[in-house]
Amino acid sequence: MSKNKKPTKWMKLDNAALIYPATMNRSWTALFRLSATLTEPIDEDILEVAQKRTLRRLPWFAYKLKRGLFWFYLEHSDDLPKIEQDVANPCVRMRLSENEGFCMRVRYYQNRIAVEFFHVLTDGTGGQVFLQTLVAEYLRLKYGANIPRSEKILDCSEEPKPEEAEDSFAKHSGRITQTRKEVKAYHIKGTDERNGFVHIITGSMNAQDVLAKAKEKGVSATVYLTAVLILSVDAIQRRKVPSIHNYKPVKVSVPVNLRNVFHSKTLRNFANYVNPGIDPRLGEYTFDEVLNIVHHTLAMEVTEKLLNVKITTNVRSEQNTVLRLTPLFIKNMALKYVYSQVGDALSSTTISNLGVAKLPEEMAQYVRRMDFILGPLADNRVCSAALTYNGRLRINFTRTIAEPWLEREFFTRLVKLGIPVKVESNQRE
Amino acid sequence: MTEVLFMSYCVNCGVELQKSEPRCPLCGTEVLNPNERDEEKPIRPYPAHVEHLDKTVDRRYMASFISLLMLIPLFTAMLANVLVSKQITWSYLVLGGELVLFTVFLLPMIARMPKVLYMVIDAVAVGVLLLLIRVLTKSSWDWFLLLGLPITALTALMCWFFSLMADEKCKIPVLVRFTYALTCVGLLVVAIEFFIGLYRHAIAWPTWSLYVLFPCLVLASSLLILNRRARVKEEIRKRFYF
Repeated sequence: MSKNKKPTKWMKLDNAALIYPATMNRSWTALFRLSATLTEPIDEDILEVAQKRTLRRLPWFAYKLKRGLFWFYLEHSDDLPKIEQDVANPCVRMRLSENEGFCMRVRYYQNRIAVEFFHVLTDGTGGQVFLQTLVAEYLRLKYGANIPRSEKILDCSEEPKPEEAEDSFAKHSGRITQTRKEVKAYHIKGTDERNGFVHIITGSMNAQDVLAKAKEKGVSATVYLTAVLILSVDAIQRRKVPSIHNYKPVKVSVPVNLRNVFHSKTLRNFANYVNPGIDPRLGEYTFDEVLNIVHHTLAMEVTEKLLNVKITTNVRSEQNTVLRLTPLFIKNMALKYVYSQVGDALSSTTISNLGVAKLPEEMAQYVRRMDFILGPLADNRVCSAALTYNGRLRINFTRTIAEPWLEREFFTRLVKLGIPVKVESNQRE
Repeated sequence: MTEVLFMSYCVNCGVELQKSEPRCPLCGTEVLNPNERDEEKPIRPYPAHVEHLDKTVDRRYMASFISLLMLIPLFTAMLANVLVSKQITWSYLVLGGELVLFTVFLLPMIARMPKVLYMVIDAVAVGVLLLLIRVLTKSSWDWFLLLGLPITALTALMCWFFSLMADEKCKIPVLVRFTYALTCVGLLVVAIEFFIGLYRHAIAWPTWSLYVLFPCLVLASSLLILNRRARVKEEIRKRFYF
């Protein structure tokens, strides 16, 4: 009997995912969350069936993280993750042993379906495909909605496609590498939240308002928001740090979806980062100056050639023979050290803009709202993520300190710039 | 009534507040909108239940870190050995000692594997240390083969047996498990006396080990009897509850 048993499917972690299991600990896991709020309360039983069908189409999300002698790897499981009730502090660390080893969890609350992903599986774009397919399947089962399927909303009756699970980093790496060395950035410090409470503050605004303001300045919405964020962090540093000589650069990490640059259909990680910023020691910057810096930094660095160099640098490190032959427990410590030097340390915060989520009319009539939340980062205590749906741009700030300095600075700046903002949060009553 | 009448703004921050917000999340200013007083309590965007983190030490990370620290005395000893003797000799003992420390204390925290495998690895590590001692002291094989190896193997076997008895899933009653464990200890001591006799080429009827074996057997029998008395057993369970 056991001889006929099929071997369990497994796959290597993609290049970007390698760092996450090494840096995870009992109180922190690199997570992000995507959610869709529907027009009616969620039916758990239907959601469970929808999840089962979605995982059959997208088996890459039903993989469990395992330890090898030299590397972590992902192993497929025929089990299904449990559907959970949502909690007040989303993206709180995922303990894999409690999650039956799965690297994602589906949670619901009132009308909302939320999926939290451990970054070893996928990035925001891959997560969005999973969530949209799950919601489409849920709506089909519950209302009989006939939703046209596409590359973003997959047909669950189709077979999984191997190119969806490819490690595109390896495929698109070249020959030239460069140093990762960069100056460390200023980090906002504050009072630690007890018991790991994760604060979420959502600012929602009319996407057209932001776009119009950005067009006025001749930049994109992402550049506009990044510049406001840089100035917000800069203002905090100027208040908190007494001497100008102790100022550190203020940089904001902006994830770049590499699928837009390289041809790839992968649903696993395929993103890189650019860290535009300013050096506050040189004096005070005007908004236009910061916009200019961010605009040109992104224009200069988000090119096929430079991104290829960045990818190649990371892939080469992974291919290093000494590193490959180092036992996992030593490698983990080395990776933790590397991450502390070239990870969060290089930026003051993050703004991850997933862009505009467009749903077909047959689906959009049931979906009121969509959100994107980044889980807490390892070193940076505040980060943000943005997603536009149905004409509303929602920016979710995630914070692990008690003081909402950055959110206040950022949203009040937007209001002063003429963009009305509506806020909500998970604050305790 | 239009929706405009029910919009609340923070007087400090200038942002509009969602109806579910009791105060401005950005500055803490309370929301006071006289038009909203009689309204139903709006649904909060997140449930009240908070998932708490229990602060525990990351044992795997600590064990890995200690393992790396152990390399410092090892390299220091080897360097001193090379500088003095021009070759590596006694510092092999440091290597063997650290190997035993690592396999016994740190490995279980780093890697998860079947218990029997831990015991095998531990026994092999102790065997390697004994072998190093034999080679470096250039002593005879007798003590190593007749004393060191058998006692190491038996002790490892007994530790494995203890770990089985201590397993939460073990269905044998606790008092019976103690009976088995005590009997095991008694028998191990007898076996040690036997191997000492073998090494001295003077195998004889056990003497000193019986002083250990008999109390163990008596205590084990008492526990077996106690196990049959439900009331006494309950009393013991109550008093030794942890």
